[in-house]
Amino acid sequence: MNRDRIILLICFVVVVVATTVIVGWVCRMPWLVSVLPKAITMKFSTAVGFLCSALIIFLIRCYLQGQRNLAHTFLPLPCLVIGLLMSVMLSAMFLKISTGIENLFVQENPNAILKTYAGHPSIVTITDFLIIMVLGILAMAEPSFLRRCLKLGGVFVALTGLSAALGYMFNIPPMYYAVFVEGHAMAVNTSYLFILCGIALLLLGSGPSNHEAKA
Amino acid sequence: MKLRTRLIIILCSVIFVPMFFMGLILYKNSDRIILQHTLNHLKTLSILTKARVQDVYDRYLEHLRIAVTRPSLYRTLDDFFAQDSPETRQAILDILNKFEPVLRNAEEMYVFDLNGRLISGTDEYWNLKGVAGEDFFQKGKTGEFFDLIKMTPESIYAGRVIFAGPVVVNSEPKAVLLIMLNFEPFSEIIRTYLKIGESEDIVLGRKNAQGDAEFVTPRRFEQEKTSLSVVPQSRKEIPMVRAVYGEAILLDNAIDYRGHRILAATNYVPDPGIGIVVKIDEAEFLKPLKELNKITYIFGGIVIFFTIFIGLVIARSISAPIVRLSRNANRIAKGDLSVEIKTGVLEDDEIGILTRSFGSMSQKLITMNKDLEEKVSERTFQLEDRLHELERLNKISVGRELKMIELKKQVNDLSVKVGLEPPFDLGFLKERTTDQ
Repeated sequence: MNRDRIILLICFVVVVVATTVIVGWVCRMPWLVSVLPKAITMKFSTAVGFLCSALIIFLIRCYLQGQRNLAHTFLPLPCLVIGLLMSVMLSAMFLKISTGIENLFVQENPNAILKTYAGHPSIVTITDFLIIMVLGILAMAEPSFLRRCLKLGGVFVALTGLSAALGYMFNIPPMYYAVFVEGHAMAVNTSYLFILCGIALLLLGSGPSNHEAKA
Repeated sequence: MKLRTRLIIILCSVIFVPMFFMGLILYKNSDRIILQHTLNHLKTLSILTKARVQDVYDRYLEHLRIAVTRPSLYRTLDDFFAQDSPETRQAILDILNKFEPVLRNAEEMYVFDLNGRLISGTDEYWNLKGVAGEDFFQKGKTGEFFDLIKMTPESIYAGRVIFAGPVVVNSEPKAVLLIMLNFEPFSEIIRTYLKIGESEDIVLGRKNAQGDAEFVTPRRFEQEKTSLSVVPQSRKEIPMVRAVYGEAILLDNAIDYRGHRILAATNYVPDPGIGIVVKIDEAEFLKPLKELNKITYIFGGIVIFFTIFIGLVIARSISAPIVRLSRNANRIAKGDLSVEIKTGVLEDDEIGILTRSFGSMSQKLITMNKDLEEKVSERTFQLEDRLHELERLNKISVGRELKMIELKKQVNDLSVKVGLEPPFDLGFLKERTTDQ
């Protein structure tokens, strides 16, 4: 399977999982939003973030393959959605104010072992999404160092996801950011999706150079 | 993808996504603020209601305590127990009648002996009935006070509040005093609406023997056929169940006795164990938000329409000169140099510079083409001239040569005639003839 197909497959998987979680929240189906009944749920806002991230990764891939018009036309939309959503959440978290967006469709499982601040993704989740958004914006700006940035961003995103996944596997709460800020832990399905997104970004970053793609 | 389409998509994304976000934040915060405000009002009302119910209850209990400890009651009871006669019974009734002005809303009063027989009372009801099996008698006999609030239409208790307590003489219960009040003091409390809304309702309830919640006051919307008067304790979504179990909470996702969704504040008065629910219909609370939604949709629709319209115009204005330029470039590439690129009134932006440069390039191409054609025709004319001259020279040379050959032939012939050798070699003529 070549690099391009792997990237497309990753985008497809992320979109399917994110859409499933969104449907679970909107239609109040708890089994769609949480891997285990007592586990931390992937929030509605996180699922929207993954949907937009998959789109950004796909459009960066289009840009690197020479479809600049398509990429430049549609990249602003997912970048804006992630930027607005995550920056509002981050501000609300630090300023301790409620914007109402974090509670969209949220109904935390009352038996969840670790309760997050209802509706808020973890800080690391927000940071990962903002990194993906920045990479999308860079693709619009067409710098020569885009591939290097994709590799660095991919490594960071994949490592944060891997850390959380291993934390769940070996039951080490700090690794899935359960003690980073009180009540802000990364869900297990979120960690796996970040690993996939990180791999996709790494693959994008390790292709031929921009000039070769343009040629 | 056409430039105009791309510009429209980008413009719409950049305008609509932030607009949508702002609208969502404003809506959710309006929702939260209105909800908080309404719940605070309900909470305040529940606290006020609790204080009033407690006050009424304490007042009546105090009156009862005063009544059962009246020395005059002891003396008349002593007289009765010493000698059961119509006079002693009348004396007890007189004392009971004296209580009436103090106990406002008191309807009947009775005194029973420890066997459950009526000693004296303000009406004849208990004369024929025994009270030995009644709860109030059982409790009063052991020295405890008893109270009951009942609104259900059963026996004589319907719409009544009853208080009962022991008459203790020398530390020994000698009789049981029963007071029956009408429900007016409590009804007055629940009729005090703070005008939070049209569907505002205050209801009181108690836990019955089965542990279910029972409404003891009239409900504002009782005429609805689906309304419950007793709510099973399993139905925790109905606030009265939570109230009679001592919870003082705010609920924003509850259902009332009609099955309607409500906002509610519950409270609890430990003595006499009355649950209080102050509620308002969710539909009424959501009404301002629905109004806001309507306005948002209408004006949002207008804004979206104008944004798309102006976006189209802007996209067209940006893309039109580029599209025109690309069309003209295409025609020039195909060889049509008659294309006219207007460079008269143009902006100083990049598109204007590009158009001017292209126009100037096109003019230069046309000029160069014209010059080239002129030069070519000039050279052609010169060449033709030279050609004519060469032809003429050729004609002259060839003519002369032929004439020379003729003369040579004649000389040769003459030489042969005079017996001389032909002086000129004209063998090449024979070779030419053979070749031909």
